[in-house]
Amino acid sequence: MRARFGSQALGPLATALLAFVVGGLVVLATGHSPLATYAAIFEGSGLPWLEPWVSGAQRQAAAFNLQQTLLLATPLILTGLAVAYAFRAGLFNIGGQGQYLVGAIVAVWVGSSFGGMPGWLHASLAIALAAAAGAAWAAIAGLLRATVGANEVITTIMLNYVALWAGVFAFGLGGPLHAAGQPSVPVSNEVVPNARLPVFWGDPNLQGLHIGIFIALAAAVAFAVLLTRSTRGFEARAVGLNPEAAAASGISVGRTYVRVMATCGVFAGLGGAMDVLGWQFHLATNDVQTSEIGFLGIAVALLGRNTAIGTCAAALLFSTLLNGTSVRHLDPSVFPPELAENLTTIIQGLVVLMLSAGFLGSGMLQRARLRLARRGSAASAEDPAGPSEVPT
Amino acid sequence: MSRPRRLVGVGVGLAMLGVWVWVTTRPGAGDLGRVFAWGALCAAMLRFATPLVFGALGGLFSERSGVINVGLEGMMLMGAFFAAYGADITGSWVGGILIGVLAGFALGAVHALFAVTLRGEQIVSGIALNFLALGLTGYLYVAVYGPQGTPDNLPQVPSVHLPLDKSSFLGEAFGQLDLLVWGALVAVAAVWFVIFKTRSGLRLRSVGENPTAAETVGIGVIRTRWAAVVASGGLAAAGGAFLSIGFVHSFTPNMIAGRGFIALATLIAGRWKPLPTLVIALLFGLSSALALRLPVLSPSAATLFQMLPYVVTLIVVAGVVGRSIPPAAIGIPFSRESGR
Amino acid sequence: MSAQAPALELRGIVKRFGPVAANDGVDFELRRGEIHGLLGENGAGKSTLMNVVYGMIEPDEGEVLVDGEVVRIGSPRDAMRTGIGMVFQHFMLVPVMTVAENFVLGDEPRAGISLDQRTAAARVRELGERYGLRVDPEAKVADITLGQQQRIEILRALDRGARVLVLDEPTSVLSAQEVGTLFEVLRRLRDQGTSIVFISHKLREVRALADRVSVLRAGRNVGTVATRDVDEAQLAELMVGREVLLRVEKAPAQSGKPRLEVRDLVVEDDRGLRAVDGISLDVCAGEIVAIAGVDGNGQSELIEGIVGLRAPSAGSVAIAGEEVTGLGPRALSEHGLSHIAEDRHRRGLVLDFNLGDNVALRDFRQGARLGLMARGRQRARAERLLTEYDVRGGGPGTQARALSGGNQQKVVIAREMSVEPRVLVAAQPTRGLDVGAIEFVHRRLIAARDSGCAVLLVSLELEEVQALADRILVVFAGEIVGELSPNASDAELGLLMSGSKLAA
Repeated sequence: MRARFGSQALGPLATALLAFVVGGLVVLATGHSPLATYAAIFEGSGLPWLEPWVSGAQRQAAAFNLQQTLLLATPLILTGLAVAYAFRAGLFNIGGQGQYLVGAIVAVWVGSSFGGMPGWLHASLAIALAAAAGAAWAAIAGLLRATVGANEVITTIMLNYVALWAGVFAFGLGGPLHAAGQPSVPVSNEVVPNARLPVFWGDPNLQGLHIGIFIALAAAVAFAVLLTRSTRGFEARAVGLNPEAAAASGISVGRTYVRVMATCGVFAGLGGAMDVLGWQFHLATNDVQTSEIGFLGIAVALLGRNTAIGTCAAALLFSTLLNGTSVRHLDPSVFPPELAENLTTIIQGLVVLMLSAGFLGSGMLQRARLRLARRGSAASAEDPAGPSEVPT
Repeated sequence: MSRPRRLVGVGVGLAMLGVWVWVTTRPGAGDLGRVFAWGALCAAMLRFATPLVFGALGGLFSERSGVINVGLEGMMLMGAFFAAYGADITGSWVGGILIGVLAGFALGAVHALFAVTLRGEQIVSGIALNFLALGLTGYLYVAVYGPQGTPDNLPQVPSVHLPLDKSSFLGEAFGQLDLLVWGALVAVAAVWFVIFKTRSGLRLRSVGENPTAAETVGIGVIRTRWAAVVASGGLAAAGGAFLSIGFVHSFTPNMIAGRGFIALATLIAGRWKPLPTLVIALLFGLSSALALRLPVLSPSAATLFQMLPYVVTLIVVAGVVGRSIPPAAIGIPFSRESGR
Repeated sequence: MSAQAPALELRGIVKRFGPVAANDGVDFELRRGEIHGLLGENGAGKSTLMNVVYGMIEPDEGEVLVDGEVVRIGSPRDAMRTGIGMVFQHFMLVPVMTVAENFVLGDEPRAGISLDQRTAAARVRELGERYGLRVDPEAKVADITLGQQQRIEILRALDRGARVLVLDEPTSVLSAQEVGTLFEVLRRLRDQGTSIVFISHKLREVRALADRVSVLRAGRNVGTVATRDVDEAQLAELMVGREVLLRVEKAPAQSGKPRLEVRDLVVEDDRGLRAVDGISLDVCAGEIVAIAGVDGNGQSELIEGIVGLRAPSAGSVAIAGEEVTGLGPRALSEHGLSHIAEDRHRRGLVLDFNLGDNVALRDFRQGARLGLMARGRQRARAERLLTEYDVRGGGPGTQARALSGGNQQKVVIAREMSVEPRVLVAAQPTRGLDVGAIEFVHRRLIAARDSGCAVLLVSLELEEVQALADRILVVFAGEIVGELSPNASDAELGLLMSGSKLAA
């Protein structure tokens, strides 16, 4: 098992490395030093905190940076899981962004209302409702796929935009969730202190690290258990790898699609709740419009090969990269952060592109091959055994 | 599927649109005349439909040849940036369009390399194109233009002035349209002719329906798909070029804003056929035009109207797409030996 | 180009797929103006060999000679240029296009810049007249019969100048009548100078048509003989490598009460046509009832209608007296129905699941607590069944994809039979299997019958039907056109299968 994981991780690692090299070429092409840029990104990510020889003020700065990186990793793990779970069932969930937003909107609404509730109850209620909202939002796409066969790639993207504009409307001036105390700023009310997630590392007033990272890791564990141990996960995997065989042996493909999407929505909705209850505490229309966490989840899931461990590792990698290139953390004398943010997107693109060709974990490729084998010439009937499959 | 069913789908879409308009405009129902300056609305519809038409036609080439193209968004974005950049450096809108289309070809070639030659997962590589184009155009935009943005004197695609009475409906609707709007309509006819009336079109379709059969009669499947996917990039890029140097006269990062995906939905709802695709694109164009005009009636709900095109897409996808039958070999990588 | 040189000669062709050699040094010679049968079991390497000839597959070793000269055939285009034409088992046509469009595909006439549809249609008509193979050029391929589709393929090959024509299992989808017509056409073509390779695994057909026959076994040519010098038994022995028992040993059926009752069942196909048009049948406990018929006469839809994969539009199905019409596969399996799917790769197995999960596919919910499966129990059961059903090539952790076709089928059978079903629907249970695996499947089916299961067998192989069935129902155009005893002659069966109803 360990050896298998090692060999499975090799491909994505090599892919990521190659993407960094190509990204470096882009940096070079615009007249900057790739090595210095990557070093600055490393610095900005806070990873030097892990080096024991770093001390004093440097160490404090690194600690702060690392807290930010892990803050970012939290929703990335969750939206990554949202994409990965769908993938295992043969669905392509591009809707993590919308599900994340819906979760965030509900969390900010619940978190900023109902003052006077006990803290743990208030936070739990906000989290639960955010997850439920994400599930409901995602289930729409599952339902459309199951009933009329509408492609989930398109429906989830459209749902993303609907969620986005719903958020802009809700927090906009005069919107239903607009903060009454701020007549000229399009922003929501603040989450009441009672409903905020406890910070366990760093300063709670300076965006310290909240316990959401553990919730994300717990979600990853739940993902693994769900997929490998539960009957629902078994159904999802069977449907993902061969929906016809699944249907023939009594698994309802349509219901599985709905359930799987709803589960994905729970993950992504949790992601939204973590950010809002953990460090953002309010949402402005601008936050809603510029958020990319859900889209990043796609790259995270793909790089993580749709496994729990892989998704967590990929989320860490991307959060490191993103945080290291952000305006706040990257030294502008080395490389302009506005460029670096785009560089990150390019690297993500390259990673996903390269994974597309060597990507075997999703089952979609196998399904395509199966169809190919069925339609193919007589050789399919003559093919003495499966293993003679020509390697791609 | 059957024609009545399709009509039902479109009808349901239109009905929903009507309900939407009714619900959101009730408080100011008396102002309807201001919203529905019919000629202007029609012109706006055509303008909003144009990038979708180019994008969808691009997708049509690729998908008819059996290659899923969810990278239309990225291809359009490439077209948008490089058209602006090209217009800027060459000082002419023709140069802009040419360079924009070339950039689209380039991104198409990347898709072809991964999806056709390397037999990758087509949806995944399409998604990758979108990231790639977003990063690349954003990067170049910052590197070339910085905080000032694209220059104000960017050469623009000219409008076609027709000698029509400006106050009449026809004059308002068609008298002052951008050249590329007419270009889109011509492109629909041209693509229809190429796909259904020429040898290349027959071969393209056969490759998308049954590649092994095409291969057995000597048609190079890989070559045909390459050509289709590269052409796809160029056409989609033309749609992006229209947006940047024909419509808004500047480039801003991520300016396609999902239109590539709407174009894909348009194509699917149009059943991979040029004329129905045009009709659906006009429907989306109309909903976008309405989204911009309706806030006059109810300013507080202005942002809510922005949802309209996306909601209409959802409804059309749910009502029509489920029943449209894609090319048989779509999404399946081809190799001759494992074409078994 | 010497007069004596064979039309086509293959020397030492080797083609490996991974560790398996599909062709292992094949020599083959096709004389001018002969019909040469190429005989072999599934998996013997016939199709691979002919794909090499047609440039679809690049051989690892060996050479191809046409008219005595070595040629390199790297693509179908090269093959056509050297005068080789091929008619594939699965027709290489585009169903949504017209006959004429399919016909000219790859060599299209043009008028200006557009495709010349009129000339295309004229070419189909003209060539059809010349060879007596008429097809309507304007019809859509999806709407014409398989026999007519085959004609397009033959005409197209001739149109491209084929002097060597290879037909891969051309009779597998034809009715008896259509087979007769095809044979006449092929003989006529031979007499006009075309050299023909006729690939088949059916001894009778090869004997009836071919001048000479070559037998392929395990990727090698084990003998080329003149057809008149050998009888069927000798050919069969060559093919299998040992004496073949064409009969299956079985005791007379002890049939009991009806277990599966189908009444006036109507099932529509994907296009909304009535593929099953009012079929009624009974299968009693302890008997095997076989549905015989040419492929595409509603068998698939009948199975789907019975096992709950397609909702019948009229009629009823009952198991052991209980009405089960319209229930899904899960509910039906609770009623005691098992199903060996027609296409094991498509419906029988999840190829990327391991064997343990494939065995559990039906009852993975059993013993589950709080939604979590009883993995230990599943694994123990899988291990037991894999041993009991003699599945070789892997344990519960092995991917199904890694197994041979025969062993894959054993996994399906283990899953479906181990639950001791009341009714078993077995659809083409031996398709694509080697002789050993076929024997295994047959023995299991008879064992199930003898233990009181009602078995409905659907098969395209007449020999299988005759060997296993206690009663034979012949299906044609979605209707049962007659019932025969397994002792009925081939002629009787063939007549019914081609649609001529017995006078009731």
